[in-house]
Amino acid sequence: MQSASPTLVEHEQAGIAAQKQGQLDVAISEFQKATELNPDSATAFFDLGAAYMQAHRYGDAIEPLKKAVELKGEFPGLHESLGYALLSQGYTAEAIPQFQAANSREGLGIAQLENGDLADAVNNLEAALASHPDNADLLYYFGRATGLLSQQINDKLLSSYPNSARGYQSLAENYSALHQAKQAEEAFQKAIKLRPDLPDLHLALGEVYAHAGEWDKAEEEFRAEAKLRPGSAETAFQLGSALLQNGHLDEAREQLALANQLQPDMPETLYAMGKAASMHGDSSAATDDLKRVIALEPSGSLAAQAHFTLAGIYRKQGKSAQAQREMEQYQTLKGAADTGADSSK
Amino acid sequence: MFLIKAVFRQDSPQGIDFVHLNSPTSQKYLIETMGGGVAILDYNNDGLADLFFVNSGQLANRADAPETFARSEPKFWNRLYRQNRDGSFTDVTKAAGLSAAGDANYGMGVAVADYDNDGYPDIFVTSYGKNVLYHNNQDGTFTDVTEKAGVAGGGWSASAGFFDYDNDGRLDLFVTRYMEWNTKQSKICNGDYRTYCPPEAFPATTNLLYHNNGDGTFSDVSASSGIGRVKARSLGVAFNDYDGDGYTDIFVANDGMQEFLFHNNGNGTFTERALEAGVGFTDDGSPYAGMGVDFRDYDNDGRPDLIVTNLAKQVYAIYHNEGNGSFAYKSLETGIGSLTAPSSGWGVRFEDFDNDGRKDLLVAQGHVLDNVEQIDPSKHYREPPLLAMNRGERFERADSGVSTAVAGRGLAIGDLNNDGSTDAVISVLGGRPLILMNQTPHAHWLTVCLRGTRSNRDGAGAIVKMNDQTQYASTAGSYLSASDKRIHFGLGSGTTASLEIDWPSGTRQVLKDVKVDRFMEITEPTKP
Repeated sequence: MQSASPTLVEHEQAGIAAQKQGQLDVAISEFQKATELNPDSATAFFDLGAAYMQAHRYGDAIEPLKKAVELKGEFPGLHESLGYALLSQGYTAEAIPQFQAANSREGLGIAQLENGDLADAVNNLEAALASHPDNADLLYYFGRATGLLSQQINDKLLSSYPNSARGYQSLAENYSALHQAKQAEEAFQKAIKLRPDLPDLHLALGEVYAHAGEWDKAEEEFRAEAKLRPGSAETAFQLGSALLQNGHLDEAREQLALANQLQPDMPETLYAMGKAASMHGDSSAATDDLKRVIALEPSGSLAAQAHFTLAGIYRKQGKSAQAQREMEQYQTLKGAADTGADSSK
Repeated sequence: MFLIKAVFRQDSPQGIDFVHLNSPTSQKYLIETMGGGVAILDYNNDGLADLFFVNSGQLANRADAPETFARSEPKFWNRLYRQNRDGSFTDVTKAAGLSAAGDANYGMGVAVADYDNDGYPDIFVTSYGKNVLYHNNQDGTFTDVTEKAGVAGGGWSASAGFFDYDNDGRLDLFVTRYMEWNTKQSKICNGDYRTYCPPEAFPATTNLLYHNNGDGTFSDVSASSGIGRVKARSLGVAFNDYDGDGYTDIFVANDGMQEFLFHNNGNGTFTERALEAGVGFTDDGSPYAGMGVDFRDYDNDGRPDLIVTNLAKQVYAIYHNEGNGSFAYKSLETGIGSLTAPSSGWGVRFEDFDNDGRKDLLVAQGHVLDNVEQIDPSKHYREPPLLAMNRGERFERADSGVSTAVAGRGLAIGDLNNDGSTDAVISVLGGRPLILMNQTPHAHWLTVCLRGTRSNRDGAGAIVKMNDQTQYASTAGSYLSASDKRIHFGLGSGTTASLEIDWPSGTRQVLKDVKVDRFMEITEPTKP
């Protein structure tokens, strides 16, 4: 163990005191002097690096932290700090071994993401998220990593197999995400022509049509998907919704009931069931479904819609007081929803 | 047998050279995308339908000066075209005294009626600026009587209509106003693209109701009647008696908020009842961009129903009158939902275009944003009109005969060539109008022209029942427009008709074994 001169100790202590009081410039100056008096002190270099990090002077932190590592300093957070300092300045490849040494999966994942090692980044970020599920930064990086990985895989798929069904499917999904409906439609149709048995193609094409308000075409695609995947609750729901939009109430109710059977108690399905039943004049079923929606999701726009529809049913039945009560609930919920309302144009 | 596929033939009658000029600017002034109306009327009572188009204008002043719109330039005039015996038209705007639209007025809509019961239709033009009432002098000319009449209004007026709300035999006037807006307080909305702002960006305002005093003047009764009690962003207006109490009610199409149904209390006041009647929102409780409206009985059950046009993805709202003061939203069951989900509609009319005894649907279409395709490629600034034939339970798309996509706005209907089938005119924002001549094979028909004696001279507000059909006498409805006042019935294979007329005065008139395939004037009995 090295013996420190009294002056070195004084500078170290002065630096620590200043750091505690938030006087980072003073602390940095004191630690700087300590490193000059004893260039072999890993502690002094680590303290200087840490003070730079605290002052958000990440670039300046790199050299003292590196020196601390060279001097075999063993301080908690040394490698991780150096890793983040390097990462902040864009030295991702250098940062990776530091995070590995620190066993920091969060830092490692971020560095790998920046370095383009997407698969490894996804693994490490997912592991980090398991320990810190509510960390917004982690969620952001994980989302970015998975998105880029997906894009990378799609790019590979498109460049290697451009005329395959999967290639067209991937292309169509990209167009769809960009709201380029016409191009998405064409690509989905090409994919379907090549592999009519592939699941999700008709469903996704139907959704493109539904978004454009072309409900006849959407219904046709959802029907095709339902033939391929009769056990898909999502498909049954989409088909039921399209049938409802097209005013085919009997069949809409059948499909929505099927969706509810396959995946019970989804509020959207129950609301659509209630709406279809109400349109069909089946007030009893409509009331049950809509009340269930409200029980499952007492606030939000779906609940507001359910209260509004219930008010209409009660009004038709001459139950004025109940209708009024539902309208009040609707107005309360709608008022809350309208604070962030979207525009009509 | 030769089958005609398209219902209409797009025509370019000789003499009609109108081009609507909205003069769009980079400032994206909202007025630029909302005009202008069209009217079908017989201004000289020669039995031939004439056409009146509202023009808009061009902002011509410096930013700090009062707004002017260069309306004295002939290209910005409103235009009146007189129909000649050979089907051609002659521009009579200047000779008729209609060329002075007012330099401070950016034109919007038109209403037509004989407000002074002299037997000649008068013209009311709405504007951003001041509205103008032109009195028909019975000699082919008009006089601007706005000041004397007291109906200039102000702000931004849109649709208007004459109706007799107190059944005193004189036509009153309702004017919708869109919002509190002016060029100096205008905004541009920037997302990825520079666009016209949504209506919510500007404050709502009140509508106007004028009572006809019978001496050429009107009184503004907006406040005392209750109409001015609620503010909105109103565009379309239509009239009918939805609860059969003998007093005309008012439906107002509002943009991006709850719609209005003003129930006529029968004592000079109105109560807004849209929510309790079930016509305030969609069946989900969602507001939409209400623009045009028609208020007629589409299913021949004797009760007036409603259709309100709106923007793409919202689906036009059809409300079926259930007969107990309430309506049911029927857009999906009638097929209108799937027909209109991708489209944006303005002027609208339920009318029997194939004379089969059922009212069909015609809509002027096109999105409000001129760059909407850049924002959402599935929406379209220009669209062909929608023609949907009434097949009983559902409406089905039919070939309108118009393949041209236009920025449709106003829509008026009438029998332009007096052949017993109803034609239509659609005004086009910044363009030439579409003149649609009906060419369906002839089924039987009867068209009646009412002449009130104890009621107002036009018979506006009369309920005319023929066999199982019901029509309400009104030139109002649609968007910014006024239709032929004659009432048309298609009769299919029927060769005689029974008529029952409930006049606003309370008189009921019954006519049996009426011969069909003709125009028929019906005069109200002078005694009840």
